[in-house]
Amino acid sequence: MGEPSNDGVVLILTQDFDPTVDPVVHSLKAKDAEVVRVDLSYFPQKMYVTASDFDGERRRLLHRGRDVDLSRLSGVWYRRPTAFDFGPDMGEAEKQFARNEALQGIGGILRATTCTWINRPDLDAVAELKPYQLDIAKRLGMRTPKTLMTNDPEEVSALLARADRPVVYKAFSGGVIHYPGSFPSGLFTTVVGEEINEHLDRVRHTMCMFQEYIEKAYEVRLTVIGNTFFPVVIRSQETDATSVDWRGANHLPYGDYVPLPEDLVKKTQLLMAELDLVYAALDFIVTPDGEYVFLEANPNGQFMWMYHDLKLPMADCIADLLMAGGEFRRGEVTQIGY
Amino acid sequence: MTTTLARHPLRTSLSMTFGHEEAAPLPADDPSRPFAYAFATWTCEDAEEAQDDTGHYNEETQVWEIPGGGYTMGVYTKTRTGCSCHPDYVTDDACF
Repeated sequence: MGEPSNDGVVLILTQDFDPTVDPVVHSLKAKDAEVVRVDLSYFPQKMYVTASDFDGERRRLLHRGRDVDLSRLSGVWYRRPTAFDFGPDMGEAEKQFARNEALQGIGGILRATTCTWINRPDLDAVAELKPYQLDIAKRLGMRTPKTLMTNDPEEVSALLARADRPVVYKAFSGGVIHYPGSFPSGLFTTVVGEEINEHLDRVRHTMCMFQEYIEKAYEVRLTVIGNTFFPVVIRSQETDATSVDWRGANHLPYGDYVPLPEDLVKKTQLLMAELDLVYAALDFIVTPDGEYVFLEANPNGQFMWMYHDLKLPMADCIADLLMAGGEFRRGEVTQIGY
Repeated sequence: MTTTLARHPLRTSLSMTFGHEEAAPLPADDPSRPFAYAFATWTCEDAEEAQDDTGHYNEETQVWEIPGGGYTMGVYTKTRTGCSCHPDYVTDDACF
């Protein structure tokens, strides 16, 4: 991957409301990059997508007068695009057909690009599978929490009966339960004990994940942007609100910068390579003995709160990566402190 | 790629600015709900209230603008949870 240039076009796929993207748009403009931000909901009513080799090769995206030559893309940032919007007049069956056609057509046209993707959505979809992440991490020699994944209430009951240390319940798919019509509801990682026996039968409704509770000295949120690592120390044990799950507080108790050990850097690069991700936000516990315990990798994790709180140059880093052009290659890591 | 090009619309922050009307859900302790719901407290909030002062997307500048013209650049990307009298916050990357 070369140095950032402004020869190519940066395509950002996300919904209109995405504050994480806005600073990157500003950064790209400051670097004189050509940037086009669209949501997939613009298709087909407000956006045209065309690929043809009649009369020469051309791949084109047209939206609000912005005519994007997809062969000139230097980078695509796949953030949080929402679903195609076929309008109120199309029937449900027709919408289903139209959606499948659009997924095949647009998905295929964009997949044929050879630029850097942060990240390719097909890779994201696999990489975010927590059981898969834990398996890879273990194979690479990282410590992971002992984990029970099941929808069998008896398995959970047996674990609680024999556990010699606290157990936590944690959702597979993130910490938010969506209630259409209002804000999502937070679902934190929660220490559970025998008091959950009255709810145990509800385990059978779907897959549940229980892990050993690991004593913490502090935690690390590692944001990986290409070959640049931003490890941020979170002194989660300093407040009750963050002691089990640091997402519980609005203002995080940050600690002084601590670079990652070289061995962990190498293992993280191997993990990122195996997941085929360019970007991820990884969570680690650091035990009182200084051991790093891998919790999870978030292929589309947010980072703007650290950009804001700690003035970390994450927006510029994303912008540079999107402008560099060509396919991303893992290489020597640079760790950025604060 | 073909089935993952767009995320599920509710697995985004879209619902923060555009309400999807639905009656209040079953109580959190209802036995028909998955185990996880035992740990998620939620009080139904009016969708219009949720849209107050959220700003708008400027198609020219391609960024979101808050009322008064300022950018939301660097805003905390956290999701407010619970009702307005007992607000709580979750760092928004809890979504993914």
